[in-house]
Amino acid sequence: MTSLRYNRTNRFILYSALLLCSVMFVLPLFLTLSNSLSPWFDTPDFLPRAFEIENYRFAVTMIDFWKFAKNSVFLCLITVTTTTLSSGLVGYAFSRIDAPGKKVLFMIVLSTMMLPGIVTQIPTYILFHKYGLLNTFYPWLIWGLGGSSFFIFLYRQFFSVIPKELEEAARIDGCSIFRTYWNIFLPLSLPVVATVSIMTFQGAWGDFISPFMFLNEAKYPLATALSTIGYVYERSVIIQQVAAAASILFMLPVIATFFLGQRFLIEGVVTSGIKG
Amino acid sequence: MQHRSKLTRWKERGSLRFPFFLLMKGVDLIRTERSRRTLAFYLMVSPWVVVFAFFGLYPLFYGLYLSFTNFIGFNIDRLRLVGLQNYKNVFSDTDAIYSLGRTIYIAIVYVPIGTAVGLLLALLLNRSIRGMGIYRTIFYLPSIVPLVSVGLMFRFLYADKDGIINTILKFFHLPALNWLGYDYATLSLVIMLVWGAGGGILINLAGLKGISRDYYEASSIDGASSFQKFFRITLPLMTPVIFFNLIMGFIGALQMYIQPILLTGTRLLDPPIRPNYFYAVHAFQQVFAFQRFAYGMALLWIMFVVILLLTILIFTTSRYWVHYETDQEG
Amino acid sequence: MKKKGYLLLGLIMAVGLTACGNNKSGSETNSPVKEGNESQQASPSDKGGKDADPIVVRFNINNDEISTEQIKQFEDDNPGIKIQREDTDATKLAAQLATGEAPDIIRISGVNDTPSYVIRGIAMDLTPFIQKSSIIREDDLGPATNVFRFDGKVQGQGPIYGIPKDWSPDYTVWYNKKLFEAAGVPIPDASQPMTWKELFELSKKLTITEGDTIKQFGLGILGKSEADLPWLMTYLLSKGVTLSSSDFSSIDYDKPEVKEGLGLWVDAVKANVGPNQINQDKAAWGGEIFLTDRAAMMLSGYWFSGLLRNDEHTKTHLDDFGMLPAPIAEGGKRVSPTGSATGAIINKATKHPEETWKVYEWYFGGKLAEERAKGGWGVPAMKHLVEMLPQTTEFDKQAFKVLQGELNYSNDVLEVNPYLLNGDALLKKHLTPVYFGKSMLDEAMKQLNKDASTLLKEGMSAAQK
Repeated sequence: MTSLRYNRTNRFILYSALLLCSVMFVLPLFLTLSNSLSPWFDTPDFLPRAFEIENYRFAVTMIDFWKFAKNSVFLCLITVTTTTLSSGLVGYAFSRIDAPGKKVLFMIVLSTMMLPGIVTQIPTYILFHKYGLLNTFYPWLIWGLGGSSFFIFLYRQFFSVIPKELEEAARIDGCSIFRTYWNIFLPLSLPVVATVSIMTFQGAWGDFISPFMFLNEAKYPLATALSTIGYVYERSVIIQQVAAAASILFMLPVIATFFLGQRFLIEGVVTSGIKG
Repeated sequence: MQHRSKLTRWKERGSLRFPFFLLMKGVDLIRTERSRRTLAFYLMVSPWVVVFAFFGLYPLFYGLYLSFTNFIGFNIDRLRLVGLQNYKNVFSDTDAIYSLGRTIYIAIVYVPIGTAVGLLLALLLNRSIRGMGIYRTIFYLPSIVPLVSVGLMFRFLYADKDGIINTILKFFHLPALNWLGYDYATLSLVIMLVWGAGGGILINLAGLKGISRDYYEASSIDGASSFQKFFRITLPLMTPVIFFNLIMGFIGALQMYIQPILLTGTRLLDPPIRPNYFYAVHAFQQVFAFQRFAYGMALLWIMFVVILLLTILIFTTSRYWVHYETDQEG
Repeated sequence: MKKKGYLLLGLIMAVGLTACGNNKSGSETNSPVKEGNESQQASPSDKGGKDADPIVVRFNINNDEISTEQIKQFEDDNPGIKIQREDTDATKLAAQLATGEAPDIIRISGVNDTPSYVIRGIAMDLTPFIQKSSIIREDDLGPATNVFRFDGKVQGQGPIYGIPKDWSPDYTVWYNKKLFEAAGVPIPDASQPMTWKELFELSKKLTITEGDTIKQFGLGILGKSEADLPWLMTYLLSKGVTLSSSDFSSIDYDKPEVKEGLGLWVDAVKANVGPNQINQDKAAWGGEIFLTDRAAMMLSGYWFSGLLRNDEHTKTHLDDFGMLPAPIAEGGKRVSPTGSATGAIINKATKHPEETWKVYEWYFGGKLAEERAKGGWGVPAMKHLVEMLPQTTEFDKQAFKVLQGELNYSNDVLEVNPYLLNGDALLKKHLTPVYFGKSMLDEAMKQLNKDASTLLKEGMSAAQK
C-alpha cells in the first residue's frame, strides 16, 4: 500500500494498534511457555517460579517424540501436496466453467462440511476395514487427491474475482481449459495457493482424531501421540508442565510454516498479468 | 466393487496417478464449445466426485441408517430399527431445543462481528513495513496455539476472585463481575471468540493481495480518499472472500463445541455452564459421555438440515451483494 | 517482487513434482505406506496359522502403566508371543468391536465398567483360568477383586471378570500439618473416622481468605472440589441406601439421603473449600494445590502417597503429611470402598485365549505385581503382596497403619447401574445450576431422574439379544 503516505500521527496509530494487538495475541503462547518452564505440578501462572528447561528434555524422551514427529511430517507431506493441487482444480471448475448440474453439485460439496465427523467415523472405520486400509496412510492420500470441500470453496471464491479478460485472451491464444488453469490461473493465485498450503499443513499437523481412529500407535502423528499417550506421571496424573513444553515444540513447525508461508502473500502478480 | 479392484491395481503398479491428465488432452478434440465445457467441468471435478463416491457416500448413508436404530456403541451386530423414534425424541428433548436456540443466538451475534474483525485485522496487516511478517505471525497465533491454552488464559482473565479483569475493575472502583457465571458467560465467550478472529487474517490477506493495484492507482488519479477507496474498491472486491468467511463462520459457529467447554472446565466431557450449553455440545455429550450414538446422530442430522437451510438462504442473497466475474448464483 | 513470486511458485511446483516422482518409483517416501500394509497383515485378525509367526496379543493399557523394557522381557521369556500396547476410546472400541478388531485385553475401571462390559457380552469369564493358575490364586485375591465380579444381577458376586492392577480405598483423607497449624486447627484422630459433615466443617475452618483472595484451601479432590457420582455412592453405601431397582430398570435420585449428601457439597462450594466453577481458581485438580502447600487436606486414596513420596517438593518434608480414615455418613456404617480400581478384562472374542491369559497373568500377577507393590503407588490386588508396601519412613508407617485399618472396611462395592453409562457427567450437569443458586436440589434431582430414565430405557433396549 505504497499509495498511502504516512505522517507521524498515522504511523504512531499504526504501530500502537499493532503492538497492542500483538500483546493480546501473544499471551496464551507466553502462558504456555511459562507453564513449560515451571516445576512439576505447579499451578500455572504468568511468570514461572523457576526455569526448568529440563521439561523440554522430558518432552522428547518420555515418549518416542521424534518417531511421532516423523509420522506427522509424512502425513503432512501427503496431505499438503495433494489437497492443495486437487482442490485448486475442482475449485477452478466450480468457479469458471459452466455446466449443467454445477450448482447442485456445489451444494453437495458444501454440505459435506455441515455434518460433524463423528457421524461417519464408525462407518468409515468399517469401510476401511473392508478395503484393508486400516493402519495405512492410503486414506490420507486418497482424501488428499479428492481435495477438501473447504479449500475447493476457498479457491472458487478467489478464482471468481480474476478478470474475465484474462480467460478470453487465453482462449484466443488457443489455450485449452486445463492449460488456462495450470498456466494462467494457478500462477496468478500464488497468495491463495500459499494460504491453502499453510492451512492444509496446519490442519494435517493438528488433526489427532482421524489418525487415532484409523492408525496404530506406531504410525501415530505427534498430535495423536500428545493427546492420547501424553505425559503421565503415575495413576493418570498428567504432568502439565512437560505437556506444555511438548506443545511448544509441537507449535514451532506451524509457526515457522506460517512465518515463511506468509511471504508468499504478495501482490503484483495479477497486475502484471493484465498488463502483459 | 469395481473401485476395489482399481485400488488394488494402483497398489500393484505402485502408482496412484489419476489417468485424468491424459483425458484432459481428449477434451480438446470435442468440437462444440458447450459440450466441451461440460466435459471439462466434470473431468476437473472428478477427483472430488470419485473420492466422495467411494469414501464418502457409504459412511454417510450408514451414518444416516444408524440414526434410525438403537445403536449405543456395542450392539452393532444386533441393531434394531426404531423408526423415527430418535428424531421424535429430539423434539421432546428440552435440552436440545434450548441449546439450539442458544446456538443460533450466538451464531448471529458472533459471526458478523468475527468476520468484520478478521477483515479489519487483515487491513491493518496489509502494509509493507519492516517486520510485518512477525506481526502477521503473532496475529495468527490465536489459531495456532492449542485451544486448551487459550481456554486457560481466558480463565485467568475472567476468574472471579483474582482474575485479571476483575482486578482492573476493582482498581478503578468499578464493581467486579462474575464473568463465568450465568449472567456474563455468553458475553465472555463472544469476547474469547472475537479474540480468536485473527485466524481469518490469512484468507483475508490473500484476498486483499488479489486486488489489482491498478484499481487503486486509477482511483488515486481521480482523487479518491482512503475511505472512498475502501468502499469503492476494497470492499466490493472482497465480497467473495467475505461471503466465504460468513458461510464458513456460520457452519463453524453452529458446530461450536470445544470453546465453551474449555472456558468452563478442563476435561472434554465437562459440560459448559447452561447459557453456553450449545447444540453440538449436547450432541457430543450424548455420544461421548452417554454413548447414545444413534440419538446423537439424529441430533446431528437435524443440525445438518438447519445449517443447510441457512446456507442456501445466504447463498440466495449472494447475487445482490457478492461481486463475481462470472455468473455464480442467479 | 514479481521474480520472487515466480521463484517461489517454481518451488511449490517442484515439491509437488517430487512427490509425484516418489509415488511412481515407490522409493523412500512410499515405504511407510508399504510398511503399513505389512504390519496390517501382522495384526492378529488377518493372520493365517503359520507356526513361525509369533502371536500378537493386543493389550489396551495406558503408556505409563507398562514399559517397553517390561514388554521386551516378556517377549524374551515367551518367544511365541508379542505384546502390542494400544490406546482406544469408546468410539474406536465400538468400531473395533463391530469389525472384530478390538484388543485382546481391555483396560477398564472395575467399579464403573465391569457390569456393563459383562452385560454387553464383551468380557470373558476368567474364573477357569484362575483356577488353573499357580500365580493368581482365588483365595489370595483381596477385596478389590470383588468389583470385577458380576453374576448378572449383583456386582461383587459371581464369576471373576478381571483383576485390578492395584487399587486404593479412595476416600481416605491426606493432611498437611503446616496448614493445620496456620489455621490453628488440631489434626483429627487417625484411629477413627470423621463423619462427612465433620470433614466439611473442618475444611471450612481450614480455608483462609484475605479480602477477596483465597490464601489457603481446605479440601482438594481429584477434580474440582465439587460432588461427583462415586462420592455420592460412597455416602449412600455408608447410609445403606440404594438408588436403582434390583433389575436396574429404574433409578431414583430424589431421596432425602441423596440431598443430605449433596447438600454438604453445595455448602462446601459456597464456602470455597477448594477450586470450583464459581471461584474459577487456576488449579485444575486438588493435587496442584495440595502438593504446593495451598490446600490443607486432600481427599484421595492410598496411591496418593506415591505422589507425595516422589514429588520434588513434597518429598523434602514428608513428615508434614499423614493419612486419615475415610469419613462416614452421619449415622451411617463405616465403609472405605474403592471408587475405581483400574484393571482389565479379556475380550471374549479373542482368537488366542491361552496366549492372552499368559500375558494377563504375567502383568496382573507375579513379578510385575510385586514391583508395583514395592513402589507404593497403590494396594496390590493379592493379599500376600500387601506386606511389600513401603514401611521404612515415619510417613510410610503412618500411612500403612491407617491403610490396614481401612482394608477391613473395603469389601463393599459401590452401587453402579450398568445401563447408565457415565452417570457422573449427568449428575454434574444437574448440580452446576444448584451451585450457582439457579436451581434447588429438589428440582435438580427431579430433572436428573427424568434424564436417567431415558438413558436406562435406551440402554436396556440395546442390550436385549
